[in-house]
Amino acid sequence: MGILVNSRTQVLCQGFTGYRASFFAHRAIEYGTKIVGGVVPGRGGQTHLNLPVFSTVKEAREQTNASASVLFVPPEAAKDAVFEAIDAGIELIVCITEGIPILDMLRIKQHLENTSARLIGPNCPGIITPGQCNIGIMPTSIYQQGNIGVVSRSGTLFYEAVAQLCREGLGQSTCIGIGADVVSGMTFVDCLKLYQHDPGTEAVLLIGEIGGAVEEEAAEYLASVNYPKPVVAYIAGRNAPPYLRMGHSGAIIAAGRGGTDKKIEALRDAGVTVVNSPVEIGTTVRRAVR
Amino acid sequence: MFVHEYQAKKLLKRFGFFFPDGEVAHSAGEARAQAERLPGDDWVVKAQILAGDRGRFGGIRKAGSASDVEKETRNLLGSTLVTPQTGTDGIEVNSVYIEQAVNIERELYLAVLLDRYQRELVLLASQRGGTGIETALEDSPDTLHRLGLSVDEAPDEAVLLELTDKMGLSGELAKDYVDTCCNLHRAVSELDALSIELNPLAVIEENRLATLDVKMEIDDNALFRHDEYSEIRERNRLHDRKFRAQSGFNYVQLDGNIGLLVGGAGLALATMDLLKLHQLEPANFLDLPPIATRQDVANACQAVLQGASVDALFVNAVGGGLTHCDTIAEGLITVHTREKIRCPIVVRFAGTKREHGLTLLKNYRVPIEYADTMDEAIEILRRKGRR
Repeated sequence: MGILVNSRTQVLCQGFTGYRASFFAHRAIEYGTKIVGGVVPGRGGQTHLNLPVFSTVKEAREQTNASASVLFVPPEAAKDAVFEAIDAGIELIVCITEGIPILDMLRIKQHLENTSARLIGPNCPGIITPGQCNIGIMPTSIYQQGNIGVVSRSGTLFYEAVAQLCREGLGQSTCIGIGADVVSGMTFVDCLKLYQHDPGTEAVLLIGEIGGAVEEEAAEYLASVNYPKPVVAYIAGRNAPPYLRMGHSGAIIAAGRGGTDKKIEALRDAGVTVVNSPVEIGTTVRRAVR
Repeated sequence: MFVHEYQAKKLLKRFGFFFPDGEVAHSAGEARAQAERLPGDDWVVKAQILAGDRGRFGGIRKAGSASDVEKETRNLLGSTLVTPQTGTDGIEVNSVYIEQAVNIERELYLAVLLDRYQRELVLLASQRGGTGIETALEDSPDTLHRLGLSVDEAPDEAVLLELTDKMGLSGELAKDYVDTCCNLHRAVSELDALSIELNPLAVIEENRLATLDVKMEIDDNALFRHDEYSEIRERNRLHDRKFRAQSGFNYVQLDGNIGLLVGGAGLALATMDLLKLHQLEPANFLDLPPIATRQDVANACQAVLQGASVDALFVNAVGGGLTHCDTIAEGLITVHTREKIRCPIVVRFAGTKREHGLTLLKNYRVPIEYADTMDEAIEILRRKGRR
């Protein structure tokens, strides 16, 4: 089981012929992911990695029936590429691209609102259902099949947490790196809703960090639904250095949100087991599920 | 990136805001000459630092003559301003803005910015502008009005007119206010700003609105589509010692003695938290770029080692994604080959290219103590890094 992606998921790669896209698409194929083709404007009709290249996502979708797309496009082209995927009816868009202008992300968010498409990222490692489907840039060797759902804002800390789970003999159902950008697609709440109904997920691990409000939103959601599965969280950044403030708008808009203490308190109040030390993530999840 | 008041005013000029006349100056003589050129007979001399609350802490001086302008500029330039927004070390003043003084009748607050929590663009407006805005809002939060905005569609004029009512503005002033809101929204959208704050937006004696101070932050991700920012960026970077954003990595110097070279912001934050839990003090926060090259790592490592007082270096990398352990090792080797690293080095590698990274370090005889997990690394650091 697992959520969003499995062994039948057919995946396109936008920006397919680039160096990084080629490297990770090749690795995904080796892993068993059904990459069915790529999209590069103006390069339709060619083949790359023994797969067809299309000039547009629409064409690629018509020819291949792909339901997911992974984006390795430069930040300048990211907004148009995501719009194109949404408009072509792609259901799951995984955007690896880093450095997309924030106003472009707001434009993407607004465009997503009236569709059923889901966006993971940007600036994220991607999504993996171990043993079935890997979309993104994660080091596949560390993941093991199992029953823990993992969602993380950070990439490297994500790998650290998964390594700790494996050390405790805990495999994963589906792991999602949602990215830590200010404006992004799927949030902790979106992922929690899916894990809730997934029979293959026994418990959920959230890796959050200082800033933003997605942890607070997760806490609010968990408290409101009487969540049926154990949830463990680690929040990084208790000792993050303070940044220079400029003007008053930051403090006005934050209104006390964003700090790690408030996040931890909200999650604890919602029944989440919050891990104190980053080296105790694996052991804490083990205790939570047994 | 933040921009100085004088830079923001220049960037905003084409959007139709009204600012009193002003010029930047970098020396007392230049300031005097600017004052003589500007209209009017009194001026304000405003320290240009990338932090707010200057007015309450001596950063804004009145001057009734050109020689006063010169004198106040001389006092300000080279001095260090400490405000609640600068941190305890304060910020050195390198330039001043000489501006024609105006008679203020009322001060308002108006901003358009990215709400990082609701993840949308918002307009914030209050009839209680000026430096005390935060406390004013704590006392009476109902004086703050918030309006969600689309990035590309202009705000609804009917809603803005309601807002003028709440601001106590009518007639020409109300019209002026609606225009200012629309201009501000357009400026944010076209300039890729994360926030533009007009505070105060003042009602001045000719019964018109004047923007007296601007705080502005630009989205670094959007620099590629704005040639006008490259000069500002270069100029400001030279004076931004503590918060360096150089060659792709973020480095913040802290008070501790354990230098940190960690791959990825999340793991870096977690590593700092772990040190603190064990009463160890990090010397820096550092975030390598997601696709780090050997040279990026070497530059970052150099910056860490040059930090105030590094007694031990902790290299923590989980290879994966786009940066692998061997690249981190190569960066370390580059630095060590140039000049031997004298402090103890604790290396923890996991994930992609761990073995290769360790082999490289061994081949180049970089003296390290190896830890397989963060736990083990902490144990070693406790022995080496205690002050």
